[in-house]
Amino acid sequence: MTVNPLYHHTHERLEEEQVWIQQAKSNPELFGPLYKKYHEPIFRYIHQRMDDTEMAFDVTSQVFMKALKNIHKYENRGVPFGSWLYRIAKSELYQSFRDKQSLRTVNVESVTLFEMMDEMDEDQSEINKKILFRALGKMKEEPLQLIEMRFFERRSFKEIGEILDITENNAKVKCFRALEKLKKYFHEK
Amino acid sequence: MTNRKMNLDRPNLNSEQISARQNFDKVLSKHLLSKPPVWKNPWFWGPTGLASIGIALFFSVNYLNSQNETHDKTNTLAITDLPKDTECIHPPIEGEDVPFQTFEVNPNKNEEIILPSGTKIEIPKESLLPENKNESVEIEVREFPNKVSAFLAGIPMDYKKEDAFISAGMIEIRGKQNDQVVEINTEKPIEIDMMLTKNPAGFDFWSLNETTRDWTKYPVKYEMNHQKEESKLSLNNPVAIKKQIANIDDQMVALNQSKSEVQKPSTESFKIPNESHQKFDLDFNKKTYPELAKFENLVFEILPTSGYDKNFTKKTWSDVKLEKNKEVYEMIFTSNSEKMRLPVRPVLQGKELTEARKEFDAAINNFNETVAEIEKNKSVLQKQKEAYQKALMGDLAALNEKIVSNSDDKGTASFKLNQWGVYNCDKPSRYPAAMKNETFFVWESSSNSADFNQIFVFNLDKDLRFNYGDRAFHPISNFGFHANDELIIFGVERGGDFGICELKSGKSKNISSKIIFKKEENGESIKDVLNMLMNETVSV
Repeated sequence: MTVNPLYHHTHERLEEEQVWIQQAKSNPELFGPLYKKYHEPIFRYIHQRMDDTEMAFDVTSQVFMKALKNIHKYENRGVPFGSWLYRIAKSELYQSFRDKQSLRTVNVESVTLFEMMDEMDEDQSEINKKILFRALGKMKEEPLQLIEMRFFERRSFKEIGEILDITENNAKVKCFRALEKLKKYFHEK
Repeated sequence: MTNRKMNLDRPNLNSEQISARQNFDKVLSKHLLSKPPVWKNPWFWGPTGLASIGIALFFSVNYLNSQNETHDKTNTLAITDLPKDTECIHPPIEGEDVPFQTFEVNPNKNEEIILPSGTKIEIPKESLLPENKNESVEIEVREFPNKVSAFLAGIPMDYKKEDAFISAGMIEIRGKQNDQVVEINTEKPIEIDMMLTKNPAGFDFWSLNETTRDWTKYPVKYEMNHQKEESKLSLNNPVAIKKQIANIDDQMVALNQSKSEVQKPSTESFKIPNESHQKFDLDFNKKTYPELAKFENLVFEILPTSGYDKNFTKKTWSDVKLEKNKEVYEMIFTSNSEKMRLPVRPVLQGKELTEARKEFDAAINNFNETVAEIEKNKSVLQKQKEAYQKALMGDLAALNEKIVSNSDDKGTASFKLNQWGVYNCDKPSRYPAAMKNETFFVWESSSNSADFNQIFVFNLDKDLRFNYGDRAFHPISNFGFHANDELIIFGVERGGDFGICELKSGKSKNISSKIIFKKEENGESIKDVLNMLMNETVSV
């Protein structure tokens, strides 16, 4: 499985990012490079879970406004800035669901379903694709989030752990269990 | 099923489209606008102005506070030492208790505590009756959002002797001043809106009797999130209600669209034959028809639409071949004097046909389930719409009816408190029957028998914990479990050693009389291990 490339920074990139953060703390106008760097991944994270594209752009803006407002609270204690933004994005996203401004949506690609069938040792057939799609629809929110992050967005366990505020090992176990749940639904024909 | 939409292969936006929508200036300007203007900054007015404003503020705020003040204590919460064990509430594992969050409140003011979960505790002025009214009172609170937290805290979750509780939310609250319990004024009870972790449909509300270790029913009012919204609507105006109806209509249109897009599987697409139609075995060039090459047992069935003479087989044909004309296969029969084209379709035989029938059945089931679910969702929406329409016609009470219980709508439990203790939204469920034969508990590492004095069976499918041994209603000899369910069995020896046995759904059927326990020795805390095993959503 390939992984989310943006998450894997070089040491130099990380240092550069820390400089941007420090600058943005003293002057919000210097938040620009961080906005430019993370706008697309945060939008994609939100849009993946939402049906309305315009609303996804709005929520993305809200995420960055909230980040600007709270950047003075951000301290580099092992959680990368990107994961901090994802936490804000998750919070804003679910707020929009609660406010009924948008509908929770699961966007699945056929190619991902075939990859998952491979991971689940199932035949890569059209009929299995439909069954798997249906099984995903039956999943509860928490395991579904893990499946989305691991398989649809190809995130590492470490990153999933940072976004969900759990340990890498816990993320691994939870992803495994989510996949087991999915298999269970898959076989409930 | 949650209220969510599933999309397959939605076109993705490319990076250019996304970056075209970047607008940092707009984000920045909104951010700057949200900050208070400079003239509102006290420093703008200089030391004299600041001092004047400060003095004025001091007196006015002090005056207002003495009348009526509400504090959001979210930012002042602190984790205290672990609670003291009691005979009733006794954590099974030393050092793994759930700590209280402590809040200092003024007994002479209206106070409000909001917990991180969203649970709200309102303490009216003079509700607390401490010995010294001029000193603050410490309110200690802990919530138990999942099985692990209730287990680690040692909260007894048995109801009478026959049942264990499935919890939808539980809270423990105490009040004290200088280590002395503070009484609550029964005429001014504390009001709690407890956030629930499950839909409370079918659940009752209980308070723990800490003398008998049993639970008694307690008055509560459940409020669902959708009801909250609806009651807000009732206070607003018809425009808001009409908007809801329009929203429902939109959802209905989307559901109807989804329904029309769900295609019923046809026997044709699965190459299942119609027994009453004539079929021919025919050699064809597999390179010309690669889509048919993968099938071993293929014959061609004549389509009934052709209106052909069924006696054509009695004629002598010099050649028969297959052709494809605009996605329709045709068999071309040729003789010296005649040429006949018959539309046909390829169908399967033998094992391939058996497999195709299975796939077809599964596809039909899938189709029926999808349609049924769409219909169910439509029915839910229809009921909601009817309720809104009634409300529009003046029957606002309809909005307060339980329109439809959405399984993911968890809501809150609102109750009044005039006694400290543990309060729980629960549903009792029967203990499993004891094992027929004596059960032996064995350590995997040494094969020695484990001398457990407490055994806890977590049933993950039923979301329950069953307790056996010390401090439980059931002795270990009553040990039993639901054989078809996913289980985590946790045993504690008197010396403090503990072991875990994990049984997947259906696996426990094979257990006869010996259950093998693993010791957890990888250095992780038992809380983390249990949270991982049980896939709990909320850490404690």
